[in-house]
Amino acid sequence: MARSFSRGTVLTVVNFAFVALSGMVCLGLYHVAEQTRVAKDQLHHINHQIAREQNEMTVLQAEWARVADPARIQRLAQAYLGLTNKPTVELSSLTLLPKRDSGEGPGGAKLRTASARENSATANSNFRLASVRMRN
Amino acid sequence: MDVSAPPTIIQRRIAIAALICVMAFAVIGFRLFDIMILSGGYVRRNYVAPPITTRADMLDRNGELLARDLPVHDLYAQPRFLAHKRRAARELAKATGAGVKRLDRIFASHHRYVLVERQISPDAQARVMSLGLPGLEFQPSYKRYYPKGGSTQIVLGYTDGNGHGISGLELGLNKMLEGGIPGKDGVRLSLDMRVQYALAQEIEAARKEFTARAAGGIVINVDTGEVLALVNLPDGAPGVPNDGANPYRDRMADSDYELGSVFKIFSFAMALSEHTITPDTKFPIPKAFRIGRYYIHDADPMPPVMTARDILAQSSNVGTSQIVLRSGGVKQKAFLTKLGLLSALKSQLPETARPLYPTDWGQIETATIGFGQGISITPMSYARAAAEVVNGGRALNLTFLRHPEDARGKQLIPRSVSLEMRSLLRNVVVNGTGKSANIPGYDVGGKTGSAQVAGPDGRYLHGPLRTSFCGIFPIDHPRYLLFVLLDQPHGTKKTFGLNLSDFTAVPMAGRIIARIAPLLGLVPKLPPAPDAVETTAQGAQGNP
Repeated sequence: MARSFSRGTVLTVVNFAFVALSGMVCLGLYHVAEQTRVAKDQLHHINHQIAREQNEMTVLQAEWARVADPARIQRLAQAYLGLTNKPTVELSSLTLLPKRDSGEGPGGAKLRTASARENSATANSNFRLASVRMRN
Repeated sequence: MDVSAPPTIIQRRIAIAALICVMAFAVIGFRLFDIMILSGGYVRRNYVAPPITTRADMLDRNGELLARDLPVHDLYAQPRFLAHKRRAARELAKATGAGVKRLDRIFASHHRYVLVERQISPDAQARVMSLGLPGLEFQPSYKRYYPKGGSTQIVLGYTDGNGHGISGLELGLNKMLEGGIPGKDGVRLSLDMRVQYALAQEIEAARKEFTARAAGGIVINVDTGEVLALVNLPDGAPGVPNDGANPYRDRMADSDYELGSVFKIFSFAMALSEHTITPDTKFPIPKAFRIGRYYIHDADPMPPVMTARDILAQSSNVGTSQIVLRSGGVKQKAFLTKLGLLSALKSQLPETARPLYPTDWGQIETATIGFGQGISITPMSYARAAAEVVNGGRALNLTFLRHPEDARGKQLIPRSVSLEMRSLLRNVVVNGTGKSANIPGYDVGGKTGSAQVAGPDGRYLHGPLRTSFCGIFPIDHPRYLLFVLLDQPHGTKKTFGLNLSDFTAVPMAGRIIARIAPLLGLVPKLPPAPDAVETTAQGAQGNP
């Protein structure tokens, strides 16, 4: 059995094995290098795309600032909707509104829960008042 | 061992295998050398061009975009590739808006590479591409874009073709803006576009109504010194008549004006500081007050005797002259110097002007300067000094950068004088010439001004006036100061042909305050309603 694997045969096998290994290493290295190149190309492409998108966003933001200009909106509203600028009167402020579930009214006053039931006396008196006004 | 013996088959195979190994490793080594040393190709492919824009955005105090660099292209040409140069010049001029004659000249020159047009729009670029001309090249560039434009343009300023600020805040804030990336870096200004819009619209309407030559307005925070709005009209916008006024001039910052009676604020503040008067000190008011060979008159008939409070409310020149003469010219000059009125205003705006005042400051000059004639200052400088009078008497520097903290400096006039001045200015609006600005709920105080205008020969013209109003609100805890100016307004039927400040600038100021006060977060003081919860309108906290 031992005679069938001579020293030369072993060396031949080892030689071929190393040659094959070298070839595989070459192929592997080439493959990795190629993958790296492709990945870098993709990265470059994506970076370029991101830069382009960011540029477009800056343009769109500027465009939005232009179209949302109150002077422009008012001009369009007057031209197409016939709206006019009326003086406004501020009756109160949001800061005076009570907080949710605080139980307090404006200025810290206690709020009473409104009743859904109609007060017949009040309703009648209101009705009578309205009737009087109509007669007058 | 016989070295001359031919190699055995095994030795030959070993040699071949070794050669293959050497070649394989040589290939690997070469490839490694290529990747590690000769890898310029990768570097070039992965080279990311630097951002083509080099200026930061400008934003208003609420983050609204005011200025941004947008990517555009510069168009270059190599004339030697153009077969029909004259035809190419015509077509390119039509597509880009460049001058035909210039293109003809540069295409005929010996230059190999010429600039056709800078900063062309994407539409123009598409038109150029559709021409199919050879030898054209687009170079990435940028263009400064101002989406709000209009009333803000003069204060924001302009940049040159290379992206350097040349006027306005573009120049004043050049160091902060240069090198910024659009969309990422932004300089937050103190301007509030909501206030700016309301101010611009009302001033434009008033200018149109009274056919004024020019107009302007400024809103500042008297505690922080922030400029919230600054309007100049005409502003160079298309369709806005100029009437001979320079549309690109920041007249609020770099034009000196004799402002007239609004200047009386300083005369009264000085007199109260010097203790030469109290609000109830009485003065005789003759029809004409003589100083040397000059006579000082009032615009309207006045009672024979008036208190200092009424002199300010009714804007009597005769009374004011007597008041300032009690202090004298030396103290008046020192007081105005202390308020910074006799030197050029410093702010981020590069446009400024030195005040004009007489070198010989005698009695008549003291009297006329007391009511705002004979001294010319910029409206911005005036607004800063008026804010110093009402903000507790402390020094203030105006800023165009957002700075919401209290920036008041050293004490210039006693706090008690500042409090008395608030009371006097409130009286002007309630009982005096500023009634049209008495907006319910906001407790406006202020002073009117109707200044005579000097003609080309230096003599005052009869008729033309420069009307103004300085309003402070809420006057009990001042937070904001509004100063508006109309240059030579004309009376209308509605004003009975009168062009005084009471009929022109004051109503405009009232409308402006009514619009901007809610925007600025001021809660109106409402009268207590019967059977309702009493609400105490708490204005936002102001200085004590």
